Amino acid sequence: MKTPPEPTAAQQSTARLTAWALAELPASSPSDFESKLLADPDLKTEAEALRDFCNVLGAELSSTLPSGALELPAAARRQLEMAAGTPAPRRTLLWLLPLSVAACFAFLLIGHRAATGKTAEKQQAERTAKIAEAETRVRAALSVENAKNPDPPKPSPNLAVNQSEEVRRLYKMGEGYFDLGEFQNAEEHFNKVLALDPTNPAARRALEKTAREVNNYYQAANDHTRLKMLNDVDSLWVTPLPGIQGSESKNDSAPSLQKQEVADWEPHPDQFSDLNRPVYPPGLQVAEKNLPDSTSSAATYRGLPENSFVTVKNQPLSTFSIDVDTASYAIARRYLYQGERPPVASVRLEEMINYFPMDDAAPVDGKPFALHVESASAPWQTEHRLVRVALKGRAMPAGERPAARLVFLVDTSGSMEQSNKLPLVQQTLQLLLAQLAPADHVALVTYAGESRVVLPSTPVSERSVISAAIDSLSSGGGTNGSGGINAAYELARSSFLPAGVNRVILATDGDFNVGVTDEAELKSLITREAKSGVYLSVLGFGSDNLKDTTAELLADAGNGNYAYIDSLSEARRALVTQLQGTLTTIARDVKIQVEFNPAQVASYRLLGYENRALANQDFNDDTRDAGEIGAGHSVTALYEIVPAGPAAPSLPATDPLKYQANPPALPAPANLTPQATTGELLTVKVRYQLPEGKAPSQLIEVALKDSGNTWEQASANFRWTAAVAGYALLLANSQHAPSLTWDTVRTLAGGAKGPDPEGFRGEFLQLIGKAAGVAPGPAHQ
Amino acid sequence: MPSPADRLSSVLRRYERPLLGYAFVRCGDHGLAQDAVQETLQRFLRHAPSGDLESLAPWLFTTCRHALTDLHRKANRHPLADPRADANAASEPLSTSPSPDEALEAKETAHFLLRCIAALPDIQQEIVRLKFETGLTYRDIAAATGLTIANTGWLLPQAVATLRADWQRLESAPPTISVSC
Repeated sequence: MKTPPEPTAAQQSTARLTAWALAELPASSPSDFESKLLADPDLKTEAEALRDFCNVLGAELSSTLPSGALELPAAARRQLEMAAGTPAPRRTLLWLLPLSVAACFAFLLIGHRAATGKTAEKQQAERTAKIAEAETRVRAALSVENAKNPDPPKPSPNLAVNQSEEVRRLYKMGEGYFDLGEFQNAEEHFNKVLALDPTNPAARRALEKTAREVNNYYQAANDHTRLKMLNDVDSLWVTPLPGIQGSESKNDSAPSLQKQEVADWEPHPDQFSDLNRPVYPPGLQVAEKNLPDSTSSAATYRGLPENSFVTVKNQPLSTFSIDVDTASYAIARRYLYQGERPPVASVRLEEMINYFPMDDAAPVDGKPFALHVESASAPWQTEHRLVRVALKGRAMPAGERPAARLVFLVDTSGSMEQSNKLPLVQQTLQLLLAQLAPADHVALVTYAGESRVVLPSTPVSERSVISAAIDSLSSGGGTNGSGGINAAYELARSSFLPAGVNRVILATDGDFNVGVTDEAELKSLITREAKSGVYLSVLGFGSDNLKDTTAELLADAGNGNYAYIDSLSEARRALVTQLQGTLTTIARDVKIQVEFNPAQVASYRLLGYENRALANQDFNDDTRDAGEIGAGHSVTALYEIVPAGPAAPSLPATDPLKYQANPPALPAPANLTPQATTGELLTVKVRYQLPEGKAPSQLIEVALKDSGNTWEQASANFRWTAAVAGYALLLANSQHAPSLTWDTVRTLAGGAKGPDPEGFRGEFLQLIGKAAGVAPGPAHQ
Repeated sequence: MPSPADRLSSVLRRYERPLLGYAFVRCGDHGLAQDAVQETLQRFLRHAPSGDLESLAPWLFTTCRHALTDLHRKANRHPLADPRADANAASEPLSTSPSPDEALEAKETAHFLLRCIAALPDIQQEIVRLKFETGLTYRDIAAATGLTIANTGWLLPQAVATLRADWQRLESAPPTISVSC
């Protein structure tokens, strides 16, 4: 505290005058000061003006206070009195006090006179008598009070201490029931609040809101049923035309159907058996990735053109971010089970090969993952080499997982009604709940029109409560995706556990059609939250409105992963088998950069990872967001390599430069470093950051010399990866594997299947058969 | 040896208004202030510090301050509906001014004064509000803020003099111009 500067005489005088005006003069000097004051007329006027001003100040300022503001409410006083052990006389019954005091005094005097040398016992008896006397008086006064203003039933002493806590808790429970739609229970709780705190307007208003909601619900149900019936009737009149589906996909122009071809084509009667399936004339080259979906729905897939061969001379470096999402495989599987060809734009090769866990060797020296590189010939082009780059994440035993704070954010909009959506979500969440430990916490938020907290963060030891909350979900309304995410993140932040797993798990069919629909805005929101340590995983459901693009975008921005759940077995795979990986991140922002040796490699092509490409300088930039690896996850990438030498196919040459000297066709020997002569094909570098903290990224580096193996001699992991890659290439109509057939894929897969304990590899073999049926492949046309 | 009940009633008589005033000035919310004072008195009953009535003042005001912080933290942890907040929002004071013109002028004055108070240094602000808004004595203000009585008696007049100068500016200025202070 600052010491004030030496006071001037004027200031001292002001101080004393103010003190007089406020009746705060110290007891010692009032009288002579006052007389001095009254003597001097100037001082007197000054003092009186000051006093008037102080009165004005006091009046104005205290007028802003509501009446009764500086008094404890009656209920509070009673509580304190009970806590003290005896009701004391109330302030407003002050007139009673002298009476009771007088009574006590009288008692005391009498007692004192009666026996001067009292024993302790007698003193105690007296005290009790005094208290009894006061008690009877107060009771009498209170009964008068009661007649005018009946008290609510007194809460038990145990509750009295934390009454305001109890009120808040009951109110919250009431609101929770209101959100769940259980209006009876909500009303009950609000009435309980009123019992404890009779003048609580919030509870009253909540009761009114509840009553209104019940009323509204009947109205809404009526309207909804009517509209639904009208829609059903209308939809029968819609005739889908080939090539012009009502799809909202982000692809650019419609396919270039030749008008003549369409006009000349005679439809076969069988081809109209399913009105929803577009039928293509047999001669049409279905080569574009930009074709609309095969279902008459608004599901959107964004396809990028596949990577093509690149010369090492032009681009010796290839950089990309890893991806552990697996949605593309599950989406394609769902189409194939329906007997349809998966949309070409939904096929992402990297997600297909990463669907299958690989049994590469686990890391040994405390690093979060191990890096394996292998090369062999490419099954679809034996002069080319195929290089497999695999990262195997460290496994985490079940007991080691840090405690989790999960928030389930469930889309309960009207579109989630179908049996493969909300009911499956509920089953999936129950499955996940069964895997969690008692120390974990779960909260449940729904969004449909507005966001509602169905269950605040609850420990899993109360499993039945959480289970009941999940079961109580029902669908209806529009979707406010952003509002829901805000509420979920708020809950996650309030229950944040440092060094724990803090995650929001979003279950949706990807329908964000009310509120913030701008992708960029959503993405920045989620990125911001992910920086604070709360990650986001996305589970996609449903088939007709899946905004696959948005879902993947959100999972990437949220440092989590995106899985598509089309059946309970897939839910089991994603959330039971892969639970550790889905929940625990062991390394984040993992980037891969490969440098090719021009002496060995003429050109290369990265299979997949088109939407994961990074600029070469981004590899060393720790601020660039990249993919995350979960515990036990494996990530695989494939490069197809054209070895250097006279057999290299001629790629289209660029024109000779006009303003610069033309670079030589092959790098001059002087440009190559000594490392180029070691016979290494390439060097793989991986950068990653540990999930917690802001430590700079770490680097792992491995170089590969070509083994010269053919693909038949390669490891089982290699052959399996190649099989799935071939499957993806055929489904995506790749232009770079012209001689690939389904038989090759089948042979590869059959030989590399291995023990397959969960049956997913066996399922893949069946899918090959189905895919061959709907997507014959270039060799068959 | 006074019984707890008697002590409670004497503390209530002496300190109910000052504590409520202090809590309200610090947090601006009546409901929260009442809860804080409730908590303070409960802690007083639990810990029962000894000493005569006047010497309890610093302990009580400090406890009140701590109770306010705790309640703030609790309220922020669960940002859902707070029944007290709604209750206070509903209890707006009925205006006692007879005519609308006078009411308007009164509001303007109070508003103006509040703005001028807000322009004072922090410690002076607190002292002025404690003194004039809630009527605490020098002694209580000193106990609550940790200053000495002499310091309080020094700072308050300075603040009052500043406010008075602003007030005189307002009185002399034409009413249509808004005076900033």
